[in-house]
Formats: sequence, structure tokens, C-alpha cells
Amino acid sequence: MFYHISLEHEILLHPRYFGPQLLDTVKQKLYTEVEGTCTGKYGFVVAVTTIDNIGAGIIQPGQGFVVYPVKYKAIVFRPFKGEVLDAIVTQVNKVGMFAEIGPLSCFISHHSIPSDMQFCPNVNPPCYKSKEEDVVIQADDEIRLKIVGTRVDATGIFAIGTLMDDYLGKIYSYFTFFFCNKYIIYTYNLIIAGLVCN
Amino acid sequence: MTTVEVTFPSGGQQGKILKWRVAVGTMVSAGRVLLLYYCVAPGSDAAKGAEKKLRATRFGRVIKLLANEGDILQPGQPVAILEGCTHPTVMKDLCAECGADLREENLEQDGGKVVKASVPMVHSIPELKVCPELAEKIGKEDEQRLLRDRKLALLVDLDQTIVHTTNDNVPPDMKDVYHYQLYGPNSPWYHTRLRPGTRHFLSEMSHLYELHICTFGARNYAHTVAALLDKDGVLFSHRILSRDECFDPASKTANLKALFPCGDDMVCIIDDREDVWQGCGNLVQVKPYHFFRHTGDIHAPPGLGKYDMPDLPETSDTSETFEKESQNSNTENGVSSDDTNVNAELDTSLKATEEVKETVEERNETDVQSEKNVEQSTKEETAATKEREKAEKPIEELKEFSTVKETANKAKTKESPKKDANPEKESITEDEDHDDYLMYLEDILRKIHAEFYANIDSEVGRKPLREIIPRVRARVLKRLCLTFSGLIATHQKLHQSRAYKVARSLGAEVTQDLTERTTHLVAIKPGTAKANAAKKNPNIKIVNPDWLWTCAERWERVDERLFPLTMKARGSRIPPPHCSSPDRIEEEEKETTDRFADSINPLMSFTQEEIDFMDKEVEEDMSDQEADMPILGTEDFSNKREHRNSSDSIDSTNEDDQDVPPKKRKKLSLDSSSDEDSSSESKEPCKDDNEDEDNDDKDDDDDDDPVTRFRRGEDLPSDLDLGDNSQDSVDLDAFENEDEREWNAMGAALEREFLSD
Repeated sequence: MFYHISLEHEILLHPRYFGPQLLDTVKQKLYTEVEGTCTGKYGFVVAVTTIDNIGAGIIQPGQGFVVYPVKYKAIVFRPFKGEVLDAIVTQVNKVGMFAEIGPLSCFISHHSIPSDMQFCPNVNPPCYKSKEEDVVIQADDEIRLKIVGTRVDATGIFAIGTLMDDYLGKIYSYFTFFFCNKYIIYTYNLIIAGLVCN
Repeated sequence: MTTVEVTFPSGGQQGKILKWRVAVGTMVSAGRVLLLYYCVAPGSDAAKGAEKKLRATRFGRVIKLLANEGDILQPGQPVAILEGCTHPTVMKDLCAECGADLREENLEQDGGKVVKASVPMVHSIPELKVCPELAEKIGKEDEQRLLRDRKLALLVDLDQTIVHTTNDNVPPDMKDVYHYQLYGPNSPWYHTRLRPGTRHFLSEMSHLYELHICTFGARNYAHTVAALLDKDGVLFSHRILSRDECFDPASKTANLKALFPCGDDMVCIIDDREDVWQGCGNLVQVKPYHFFRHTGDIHAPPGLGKYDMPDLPETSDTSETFEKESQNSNTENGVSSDDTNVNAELDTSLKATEEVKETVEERNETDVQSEKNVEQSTKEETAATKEREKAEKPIEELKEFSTVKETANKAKTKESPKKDANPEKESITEDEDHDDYLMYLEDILRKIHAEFYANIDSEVGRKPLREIIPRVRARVLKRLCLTFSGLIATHQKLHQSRAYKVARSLGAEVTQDLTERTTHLVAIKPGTAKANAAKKNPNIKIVNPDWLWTCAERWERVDERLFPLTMKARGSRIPPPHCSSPDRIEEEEKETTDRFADSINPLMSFTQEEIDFMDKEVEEDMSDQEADMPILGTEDFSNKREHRNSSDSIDSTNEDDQDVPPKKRKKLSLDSSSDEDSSSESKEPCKDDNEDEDNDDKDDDDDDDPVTRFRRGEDLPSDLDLGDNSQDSVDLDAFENEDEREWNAMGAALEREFLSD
């Protein structure tokens, strides 16, 4: 889930940046230090939207470095158990498949994929295919999944997902849906045929 | 594992099951629909209200359904039994089925519950583990699929097998060399050269095998090289195992079980090093590919550094270069007329000396003796060539003498002019690469594949590859019978020598001495007793050891004419490291053959030392006999000896056991050399007298043992007479160099011991 929340961060600045551009440097440093990081509590910091307050800098005794407490607002992405998300498949193997939801990687076990979908290692790229072969999930496809568990590390979050619920599985973009769905093409052909006959 | 009953919602009405949506064994997660039902009024069967769904409230596996479709359920009645999650698949300590955090669970239960999932089945993701049962199930599916597609699994090593990578500086304009950095812009550059024909090889093999990469390179490196090899992931897909995923830094065998939980019956391995697989029978050891000078395997396992860097070029393709060299030298000789003379003359002198000594040498059956003869003959040859270079006359005469043989030799050299230009080119530009090993490897792998599926198609049934691979290998030299000459150290037993093992693993039979069945003589240098004896027999092909090594390397019977035994084209005594075969298989084969051999040849039941000892005594016995009949036609005599030899040796030994005390080696060798003299003397009249004039007169037999001379039937103080005896020079030489030779033998033995370790 995405949140827009207020956060705080301390910027440690080297004395050589002291000068008219000091605050710009602090801001710049905040962007580079904060965006793209991940904390267990708030999840991934996607983007800093506003910098609300840059506090008074405190010179560190014996060093000359200055610490600026900064208050800012940012968009964060925090995955939760039970959340339904759209993901992009990155790797398909016999044990399951890996997907990415932006910065979050996720594993879906073979058992959490509907049992009518079978792993096909022989085709390239390997994929999960339903028996009627009308649903094929392979690398770079978009899927909708539900998160069943998360592991929060110091460096990132890892999630376990499932496709075993209603409306989960492969999702089609409008274009692919319209041109690749054989039923739609079939009806489309019918309409054309009807027009021609008339 | 705890089980839970799913109960029909109490507090509601009765319900009738319309349809089960799960079966026994299905994994259900919380919220999954278990069954469809509709409510019914008590006592009636009529539907009341809409269709409803009963959902699972927790995760688990259905182990039993307690109601059938159409049953009426009372509120609170159990409908199914769910088994809690066994966490069969675990990713980063999270159960991939139920999402439970196993670290927390372990803490809660005080470590009482062990994580069962332990097999990392996916090559590149070691964190993803499955439980052994599931692994086996998946493995079985894989196996079935491979069988259906008529494929096998092939583990491909990268470094020195299909590519050669260096991080040295190389010229940027080299052909077919890829340059890349693995760790960002400021990291070192790597340069990779694909072995010639790699792409073709891999694409051909991908029809027969499922290809896996199995390397000691870092993951980054493995994936980069895989991308070089196949951009679309057609060949390897994600089946890439690198150092990061290896359990054991020095061995790849440990991972085998994880990747193939159903056993390695269908797994074939190609690798340039045997040690990392620890004698795994599925291994086809390939000739290491070496392209960049002074770079070994940059990803060799720690502590197992392959070779010293500068040594590598020589060791890696000994036989190949040797082949070239020999051919090159031959053709060079063919070009310049002067050289031809010398060369031809060398051959002739060789032949002359050989013929002179034939009679004696045929009697010298033990390795000790033959070894000595080898040395003597070579000395003679070198001495002779020096002289011939000075004096031209005898050359002409000798040349006429053996024109026939010479032309035969020349024909051999003409057989192989195709590679002549190669060595020169190599020195000019490094881009030229003559490695064509993948061609042979392709053939080997095809044979293995064909054999495997031929077994399945026939009644034999499936045989594991670890049996099939040695069997295919043992077909290479089947029905050939090899004899070694000068290849095995005197103190070493034939069965323990590496040459023997290599030959046996190729299916050839190896005998200690020449027999009627012998088809090939593998000799280290011309002029040995066996070489001379074999020369007489047109059925025996004489080759240098590189023939054997090349056969072992390519798994095919190489044309013997490419490896003629000449003075210059001497093979290496020790097989190149990639030709060695796993000992384990050797043992199995040996057992059967030993039994077979025992039944036909009683000599096999003696140890080598015993036989050596016997032969020495026979030798002495023979020399005594000879003293009695010095004018006997040696040709006939020797022939007779040859027939009697194998059986007589034992008898005579037994007879003379008490009479002849074991003598010291020095003495014995002296005897044998003097023995030689007498025979050559007796042969002298029928030979040309050139020999006498050519050889020096300077040698004196002052040091010669009077007893020996007496045995020879000479006058005792006949120093002057001996002066024009050509062979005595050799005799003396042999004697003087006795110590030196002993030292040499000891050195060689030490070296061999060291290498065999």
C-alpha cells in the first residue's frame, strides 16, 4: 500500500559545503540518501514530495561536520499480508515463479499457482500453462497476486505471494486483451461477417 | 503436524453440499472456497435461498473429506480435515505456501520444530529450498520429461572447457574475444575467448541434452558468460550454478544431489578437471582449453590451483603440440636435402643396430633388461649419427641398404601434411586457434546419448550413465591388445601404471610381453627389444604413446599412422592429466579381466617382481648356454627361444634356483651387455662390416669382467682383438654410465611416484 507520510532524517554535511548553496546541498543530499531506501516500518521510500523543515545544524565536536535534522514528506510503499498487487514476472522455474512489484520481489510457490496450470520447461521461455493453453504465464508477464507473507530485512522486503484466489493470475493490458483474446476476435469476425453480408 | 477439522457453520441452517471445490491433497489457503452448498429447510430437500460458499479459515492441506456431495450437513458438523502447513517450500525462511515466518515459529517453539525444507533445487537461488519429498517429486517429473523428450542432462563447466577467460591485459583487437567488466565501471576487465565451435556444439547438444552451467566462477561471471553464449536463454535458461551457490568451495559433487534429487542416472558432466567431481563416473573429462598464454583457470577452486601459470601451455595440449611437432620435424627433414640424408641415415643406422641386436634382445624379456637395451641402442644411435655426419661414405652405402624401410617411413610422413603450416602460424598471430576438441566431444556425447536410449529401447532397460559412460569409453580400443615398451618404470607394476589404466579404461587388453594377439606396441623409443620384435610382425602396429593419449582424449581409435615411432616423435611417458580415468571404474573392470587372464596365462599369477627375478635368472642361464654353442645360427636360436620363452622361464628358474645366487643389479646388467656382445659377434659375419670401421677403436675392455669374457668364448687377454669389435664401444659406454643410469632410473622413478600421487 502506498502512503504519503512525514518522516525525519538527519543529514551529515562536510564543512566544505558551507556557503550560499548550503541548503540546496542539504536537500540534494536528502534526495540521494533517502529515496529508494527501505525500512522495516515504513517500507520503500519511493519519492520525497516536500521538505518541510530543515532544522538548525549542530556542529559535531572534534570533527567539524554538521548534522541537520530534516523533516520531509514522502511517498512510501509498504506491502502488507493479504494485499493484492500487480506484479511483473521475472523468472519461472519448476518450484514456482518470481515476480517484482517495483522494488519488492516476491515468490509464488508452485502450490500457490492454480493446479490446472502446469509448468512447461521445454518452451522458451519456460512458462506455466493452463490445460486449455489459453492462459500462459511466462517471464515479463503481468500478474495479479495476493501477498501471504513478508520478510523484512535491513536491506529490503521480500514477499511470498499466491495466485489461489478469485481474480488473481494473469492480467491483460487493454491492447493485448482486445487483440489476443480469441473470443473477442471471434465475435469481432462475426460482426465483420454480418456487415459484409448486409 | 497438527490437523484441524473444518466444521459446517453452526448457528445456521442445515445445508446440502452441491459440489466440493477441493480434493484430497489440495493445498488451501485461508479464504479459499472449499465447497458450494445451499441451505435447506429441515426435513425437506428443497433449496432454500441462494448458493453459498464455504471457505477455509486457515491454511492447510486437505487430507480427508468427511462428507459427500449431496449430503445434508448439520450445523457444527465437521466436513473436512485439514493438515497444517508442513512448510515444504521455504524462501528466505518464509514458508512459500502459507507465508509463515519460520524464524518466529522456531523461536516460539523453542527450536522443537526443524525446518524440513533443505534442498535448494533452483540453480541460481540458493535461498529457495524445498523439502526432500517434494524435491524428489519434482526431480521425478524432470526425469520423466527428459525421457519423454529423449534427452539427458548435461552439466557444462565454463572455464577451460568451453571458454577461456583471463584478467590479464590482452590486445584489444583480438578476434572472437569478448571484453567486459563485471563489477561496475572501475572494476577489472575480463576477456573471454570461446572455444572454437562452442556455439555450434552447444546448439547441437541442446537437442540431445538439457544444458546446465556448473562453474566455479562467481554468479555474475557465470551469468555474463552464459549471456555471451546464448543471448535468448534458449540453451541454459536459468540453469546456471555458480560459485555463490556451491556448497563446497572445492567440489561440485555436493550440489549434484540437490539439483537432481532422484539421482544422477541421467546426468552427464563435461569438465576439464576431475578432482572437483571426486571420481564421479558421470564425468567426461575434456581436454582443457587454453588460449591466453600465462593464464590458467582463473576460477580454480582454492588450494587446487591447476598448474603453475607458465607451465600451462605445455601441459594443457601436450599431445596436440607433440603431434604437430613430430609432423613438422618430419616435413622439415623432407624439405632440405641435407637433412634428409641425416634423417635417412639415422633411420638406417637405427635399423642396422637393431638387426644386430635383435637376437639378444628377444631374449631379454624383463623390463630391466629391455630398459637397458633401450638406453644402449640410443647411445649407439647417437654415437653413430655423430660419426656419420663426419664421414659421408658409409651413409650412401647404408642408405642403399635400407631404402625399402625408408620409403615406408616417408610414406608415413606424407600421410599427414595437413597441419604442417600450423606451428608457424601460431607464432605469428595468436588469433589462430587450432583447437578442434569440441568436435570430438560432440561425438562422445552423441555416443553416450545413443547408448543410453538404445538401452531403454531394448530389453536391457535403463542403465545409469555412470555405467554407460565407462562402457562407451571401453569400446574405443576394444579387441585391441596393447603392449608397452619403455613406458612403465621397472619398479612399477603394470597394473598400477597410469598407462595401463588408461588403456584398460579404453577397453584395450594389455599384456606384459608381445603375444600372438598383440595388435599394437606402444613404445617410448625405437630400438627396444619389443619394438624390434614387433617390427618383424606385420600385424603389430608400432606407435608412440601419444597415440594412446590421443585415443583417450578423443575417445576414438586414432589413425596409427599419425603417431609413428621415430627418434624424434617420442610421446610423453606420462598421460596428460585429462586422460586419466577415474580409478573406481578401473577397479571393477580389472577384477574380471584378472580372472580371465589367470585362466590362460599362469605368469599372471606371479607378481611382477617375481617374474622379473625369474627372467634375470633365465638370462644368466641363457648366457651360460650360449657360451657352449657360440657359432650356432643365432637367428634360429632366438626364434626358438621366443617360442619357449614364456613357459620355459619358469621351469628354468626353478631348476637353477639353487645354483645361481641372486646377483647385484650392476653385475647383472654387465652380464646382459656382454651377452649382447657375444651375440653380435656371432652375427658379425653375415652383417656388413661398415659398423666396425665406423665405430671408435678407442674403447678398451680393461674393466671388463674376465669371467664374462670367458663366457663369451673369447680369449682372456684379447684387448687388441676387441678393438675392432664395434659393439664393445657400447658395452663400455654402458658400463661407464652404469652409475649414471642408475641415478637416472631413480630420478625417473621418483618423478613418476610424485606424479602418480
